[in-house]
Formats: sequence, C-alpha cells, structure tokens
Amino acid sequence: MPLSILYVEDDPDIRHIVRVALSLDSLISLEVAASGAEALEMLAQQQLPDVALLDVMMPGMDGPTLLQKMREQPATAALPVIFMTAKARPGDVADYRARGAIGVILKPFDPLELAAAVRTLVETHRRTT
Amino acid sequence: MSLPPRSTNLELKAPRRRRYILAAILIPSLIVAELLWLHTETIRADTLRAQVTASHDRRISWLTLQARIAAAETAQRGYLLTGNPALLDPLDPARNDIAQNLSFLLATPGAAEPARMRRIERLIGAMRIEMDRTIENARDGRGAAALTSISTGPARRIMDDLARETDAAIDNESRFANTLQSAFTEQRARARDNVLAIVGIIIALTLALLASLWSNARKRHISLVEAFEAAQGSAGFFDSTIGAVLILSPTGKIEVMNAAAVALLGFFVSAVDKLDISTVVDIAPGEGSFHARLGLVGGQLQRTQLIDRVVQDLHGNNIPVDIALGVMHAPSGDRIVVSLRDISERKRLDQAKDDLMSTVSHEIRTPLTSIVGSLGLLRAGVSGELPPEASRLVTIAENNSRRLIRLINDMLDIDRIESGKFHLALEPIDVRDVLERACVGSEGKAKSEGVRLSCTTPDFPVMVSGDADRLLQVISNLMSNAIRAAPAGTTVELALSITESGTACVSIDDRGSGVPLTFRTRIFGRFERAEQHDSTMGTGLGLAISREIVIQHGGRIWFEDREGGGTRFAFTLALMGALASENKAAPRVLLCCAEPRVCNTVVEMVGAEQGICTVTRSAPQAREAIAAENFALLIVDLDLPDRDGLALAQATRTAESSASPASSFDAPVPILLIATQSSDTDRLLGLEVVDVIDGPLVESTLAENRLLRALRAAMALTGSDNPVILHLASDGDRLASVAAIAAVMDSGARVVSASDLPAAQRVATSTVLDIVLLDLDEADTFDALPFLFDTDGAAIPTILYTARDIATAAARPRRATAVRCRSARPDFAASIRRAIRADTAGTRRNNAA
Repeated sequence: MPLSILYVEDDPDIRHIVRVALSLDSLISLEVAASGAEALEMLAQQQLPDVALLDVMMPGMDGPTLLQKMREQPATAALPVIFMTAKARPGDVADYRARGAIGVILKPFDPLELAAAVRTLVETHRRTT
Repeated sequence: MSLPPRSTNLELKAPRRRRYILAAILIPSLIVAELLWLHTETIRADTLRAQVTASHDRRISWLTLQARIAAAETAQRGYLLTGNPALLDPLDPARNDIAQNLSFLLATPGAAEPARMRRIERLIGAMRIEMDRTIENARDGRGAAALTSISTGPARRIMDDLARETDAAIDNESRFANTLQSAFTEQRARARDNVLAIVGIIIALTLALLASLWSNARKRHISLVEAFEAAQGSAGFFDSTIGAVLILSPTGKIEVMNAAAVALLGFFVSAVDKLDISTVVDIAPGEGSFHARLGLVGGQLQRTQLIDRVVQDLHGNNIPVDIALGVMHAPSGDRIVVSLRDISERKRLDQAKDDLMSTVSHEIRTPLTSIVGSLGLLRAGVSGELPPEASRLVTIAENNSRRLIRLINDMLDIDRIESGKFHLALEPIDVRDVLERACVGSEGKAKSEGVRLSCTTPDFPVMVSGDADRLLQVISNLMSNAIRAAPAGTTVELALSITESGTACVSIDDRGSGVPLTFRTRIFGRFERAEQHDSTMGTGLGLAISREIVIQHGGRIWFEDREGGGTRFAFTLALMGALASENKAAPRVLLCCAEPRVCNTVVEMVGAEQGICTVTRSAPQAREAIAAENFALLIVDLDLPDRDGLALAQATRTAESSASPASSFDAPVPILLIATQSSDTDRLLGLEVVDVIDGPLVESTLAENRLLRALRAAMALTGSDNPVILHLASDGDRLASVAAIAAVMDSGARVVSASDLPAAQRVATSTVLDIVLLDLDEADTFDALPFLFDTDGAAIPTILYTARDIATAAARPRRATAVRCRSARPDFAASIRRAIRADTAGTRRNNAA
C-alpha cells in the first residue's frame, strides 16, 4: 500500500542514504526537510503525509521539540511520528514512545530494511488505534 | 578506627539508696538508744540518791532512837540513884521521841527485817513497862530492887537486847548505805564511760563522713578531669574529621554537629532549638518511635548504609549523599551517629562520563550510519551491479563497519553494566516470540554461511518476566556465534523447552569444533575471543553482556559439549506462574493490559491459580486472540489506551450471543475488568462483567431485552433462589424501568436501589449482595468498586449499562478511587480463582461460603 513520508534530517549524507533506501520501495513517496523549521513550513503548505520520520539530534529545533510543535497544531496533532536516532539503546525506546512517537528506528540501520521497518511501525500503530 | 579505651574511676553504678537509708535509720536509732539509756541511768541515779537519803534518815532515826533510849535510861538511873524527881524530867520527852522514832521506823520500809522490828517493838514495849515499874518501885521506896533490875535484872536484859538489836539494825543500815554508795559510784562511772563512748563514736562518725566526702570529691574531680579530657579529645577528633557527622538524640533530634556537617548543611544547631533530623534528610519514615522507624532493634541497626540519598541544606538545596549510620550507647539513651558523604562530585563525574559516553557513541554512530548505509545500498545494487572485486571490497568495508557498530553498542552496554546502570525493562512476554524474531533475524547470516537453521518451540505460551529486546540480543549473539562456528552444511538448532525443575531453557546447538580448551574457563569474560580466521569476528564482549542480561533475568547461562561434536550454549529463565506451563490442560486466561506492573501482578496471580496467561496489549490484539482460541477467563484492564476495556467486554458478549443465541449465557466466558485503586497497583479491584449494555433502556427494546438476558444469566450464576440485586443509579426513570424488568422475571429476586455512593456503601456493608447493576452514567460509579465484593473477597457479578454509547461513557474521566475499603478487602485473586475453578468445574457458584 502507498505510504507518504515526511523525512527530517540535518545530516546531508544520511539524508541521501535514506532517500535511496526508501526509494527501493516503489510505493513510498518521500518529502525531505533539512530542519524542523522547514518541516513545519512543508506541513503547513502541503498535503499531510502518512507519517513523519524525524531525526532526534538536530541543531536549532530537535526532533522532540518539532514533535511538540506539531502536536500543538490541530492539523498535525494526530500525525504519527517515528524518531530516528543514534543516541539510544533498546531500552530507551519506551522513553521515546512516552514522548509521543509511535516508534524509534536506531541508527545505524540496515538501509535494505528501512522501508519495511517504517511500514511495520505504521501498521502496528494503525492496528491499535 | 576507634579511640583507645579509657578507664574511669567513677563507678557507673548509681549510688545505692539502701545503704544510705540503712545508715539514716541506724544512726539516729543508736543515738536515741543512747539517750534512752542515759535517761534510764539518770533515773536510776536519782533513785539511788533517794535511797541513800532514806537510808541516812533511817540511820539517823536509829541513832536518835538509841540516844533517846540512852537518855531515858540515864534519866531513870539518875532518879534511881539520887531519887531526884527533877532528873525524870527528860524522861517523857525521851520516851516521846522514842515513840516517834519508833513509829517512823516502823512506817519506813526497809528499816529492818520485820522480825527484828517486831522484836525491837516488843523490847521497847517491854522497856517501857519495865521503866514504869522501876520508877514506880523507886517511887514506892523499892529503889534497891529497882537498881538491881536495871543493872542485872530483866530491865538490863531488855536494854542489852535493845542495844544489840538496834546496833544490828544500824549496822545493817550502814552496810546497806555503803552498798548504795558503791552502786551510786559505779553508776556514775558507767555513765561517764558511756558519755565518753558516745562522744568517741560521734567523733569517729564525723571523721568517717569527712573522709568519705573527701574521697568522693576527689573521685569526682578525677572523673571530671578525665571526662573533660575525653570530651576534648573526642571533640577534636570529631571536628577535624572530613566527613559530616551528626549525632541524634533518641527522639531523632540533632544534638551535635561537627564542623564538617555545619559546613555541608550551612546551619548550626543551637542548644535550645533542636532540629529534627527529618528537616535535613528523611532516614526514618513512617509512624512510631524514632528508633523503631529507623530500624534500631535490640541495640543494633538493621540498616547501616543508606546509599544515594538527598539532604537539604539551610537554603533548601538538595545535596546527594551516602549515609552511614551507627549507634552510640549512652546511659540516657541510644544515640544515632549519622555520617554523610557528599557524593555530588561523584555524581557529577558519573554524569559527565555518561554524557561523554553517550555523546561519543552518538558521534561515532552518525558517520557509521552513512558508511553502513552507503555500503549496503551499493552492495544491493542500487547504482548498478557491482563488478565482483568491487563487490568483495564493498562487502569487506560493510562487514567491518558493522563490526564497529557492534563494538560501540557492546562498549556502551559494558559501561552501563559496570556502572550499575544496566537495567532491564521487565514485562510479561512469551519467549516463543523472541525465538521467532531471533530465527528470522539470523536467516540472512545463516544463509550466507551455508548453515541451516532449525527453530523448535512448544505449542503453549512460555511466559517469563523479561525484556524482549535484551533477550533477543542474547539469543542473536549466541546464534551468530553458533553460525560462525558451524561448518557449512550443518544445522544450528535453536530450541525452547521447559526443564524438569520448571524453568524455561533456551538452547543453541552447533556442530562446530567446540570451545577451545584455553577458553573454557574465561569464555564469559570481557574481550575474550577465540581465534577466528574470518572477518566476522565478535567483539569479545557479546558473551559478557549476554551473561549479565541472563543473570538480571534471574537465570544462568552455560555451555556444554555435545555428543558427536559441537557445542550447546544454553540459558535458563524463571517462568512466571511457575508450574503452569507444564500442565497442558491448565486453564487458559487472556489478559488485555497495557500497564506493565499491573500485567505482571495479574500474570503472577493467574499462575498461582495454575492458569496460563496470554498477554495482549490492546483491544484489537485481544479480539484476535479470542477469535483464535477458547479462553477460560478474560481479564481486561479498564484503563486500556482509548478506554477499550468496556467495549471489549461488550463485544465479547455480543459475539457469544450471536454465536449461539438459543443457548446464550449457558457458559459465557467470565470477564473480569481490572480497576486499579488510584496509583496503588498492589490493590487490584475486580469487576465481574456479566454484560455491558448501551442505549437508553426506556426507549430501546434491544437494550431491554439484553438487560433481561443479562439478569437471567446473572441469576443463573448466583445459584441463589432469592438473589439480592443492588441497583446503583440516581436517575428515577432508569430505576423504574429496571425495577419493571426485574419484576417481569418472576423470581424471588429482590432489587435494592441506591441513588448515591454512601447509600450503596451502606447497602453493601449491611446486606449480602448477589448481583450488581451499575449505571455507567453515574459520576462515581467506579468508586463503588471497593465495596462490591462477596464474603470471599471476590467480585460480584455486575451488569453495566449506559444511556449513551460505550465510547462516550468510557471516556468520562474516572476519578481515582481513593475510597477506603472496609476491613475486609476485595481480593482480586479470589475473583480469578473462582472464575478459573468455575470454568474447570463446569459449574458456577455452588453455594460457596
């Protein structure tokens, strides 16, 4: 099934990798922002994606702050969010979920499995809502 | 370190009162006795003196008597010789005196022996007669005869006898007087001696007293000096010590603070207002005496170390400390010695190190993400098929990047293990799921090594309290070791089983060459690596971390050689509800619950009742599970996300009745809803749901019919002919309609209405309830839960209904049920027990209690 993703990441190399990795799944459409501010603009102007994939450590506005701002706006309040971060071990996942994310993808990730991982999280979320 | 023992001259025994009381009694007694004695002696002296005087008087009297007798005789003789009557003049006075003296002597006791007195008396009488006769004779001219009489005749004899007797009497008297005199003298000597003795004793006592006083004063002085020196020594030691030390009175007040404590806490305790230790740090919470709260039992502290506490200083700043406690036994009560060690620096360093580790690992992982990502994509051919050599080079780069990633992860884990920050997030999990994920995850590796995988799990749930991700880490680690060790073409077998001792056992078997001898003892240590000649080497930390994970799960991990070659690595885990999984006929319970602690508690309870729990985390998951198999009991958390609990209960009942409308509620699955009492997850309140009905009863026939069916089902459950139904609702219409329905049922059922919580409470505590009807639209419906249980503590079958739809009703914010239960407690385990047993027995409520 088609899935539209908004991806926010400040590191250009990782942005590229993710773009290529997600392109392996032809049913995924991807929008990319390089910062939280840019992401908010895109969300305001364009059609909402199915899910937002947010890097956690970003200069300026970090992932959790961006999530909070999204929650404050009614349009994006219910938009599912997945965090991507290098700063966690498996036990920290619960922490991120408590902050409002539907899941966490740890860096480094297997680029060949990335699309599937995102899909799994989205589907689990849809099933339990 | 302890001070050298000091000796003291001061006896620590309190002075004995008895001694002093004895002395206080004895000494005055002695003195009084002496005084009495003196008194007696004085009286005796007086008596003696009187006696002496009396004797003297008597003697005088005797002498006078003799003298007057002599005078009378002389007068008589003179007359007889001269015939001069004038010479008789003294005779009468003399004879008067004689008579006087005689009567005096006769009247005086002790004058002479009575016999002698009589003789004297007689003699004097005879003398008188003789004298008269003689004088008469002389007067009559018989003077010569008279003279003869008085010189040799009877008169002479009388006079001689008289003289003899009176002499004797006088002698006696003299002797008597001498005796008295000696007695008197003796007595005076005795008295004098006694007085000297008394004086002597008084002097002695005084000296003794003074000596004792002096000795005591000296001793006290010495003790004071020693105490002072000891105190000075201790004070010096106390104040110079680096650690903050406080000494607490037996009631927990701060008595003494050393200089370091003053510096740490910033305030100084004056002697007048003693602060309670709880204003600084709470080391003795609870109720009761300070010593009891602190854990001081029989002079010994139960805990002497309190790690990682917080004290508050004068300004209210929190200072992290380690606390050590000690007891100081003092005669006026045990003192508690509290030593504080400021660990803020250590915490800062720890925090700094944590931050560093976390930042470093992040900084390393970020570029690794790009590296591994690029290489992976390249290898997958996104930019076209790679030439073989390029492919090989890319694979080398990729594998080593992965190795770096593993190393970073492992290092972070080891650091956390070593600093005690390695924690598991435990919750009830089915180990079979973890094995499945591990199997799937290892497929790729196995395929590239040419190794086959086999995965064996039992067909019943294996519930443990565990951290799924970490267990996956262990199994993956063991599997990758096994795959690496296994020769191509062989099989690596992953298996899950239950041991005889009732634990879960995960084993990974390979047909490799076995663990090298040199490694067998060290294999679970850090950085221990067997010689490998391929590039997919382990970090050497994997087994150490796996071991820590297994240990924190309460299990053990080991390896053994296999017959026919190869190695088995295995670890055990404790089962939840230990023996339940062994019994394949054990009742199956479905639990739908999201809060881990509640989940854990319920799974344990189910296990205790020999049931096996399948855990689902959401209503949809639960629905899937119910559709897949039959359960003996459903337990649903009222507080599921999106408040699905009620809806799930209702849906289950709906499904049951549509599946077999005719025989509906013959054997409905018991459904227990869990409500937790405020934040106290140890106190689970259960609600046995007969049905959940929505739609306004007054208007909806559907709802009415459903209510009727539910009431019938509930009555079938109670097994009582005259069930008592409590209806908690304040809406008059609702009350009326329900009453009407109940009447329709034509039974001995009695409906008791309660329009608010206090009324419901009263009914519940005074009557035995069989069925409860709860109006969900009541604000405090769920506050009634603590009262709705029977004599066993089990939940009473309840029918819930609402005029709106379930979602709206469930969405009402539920106040935390903070109501105190009566002394009998609702017992969720009892509810579970009854539900499970009923199902296994096939009947319900066979008149229990």
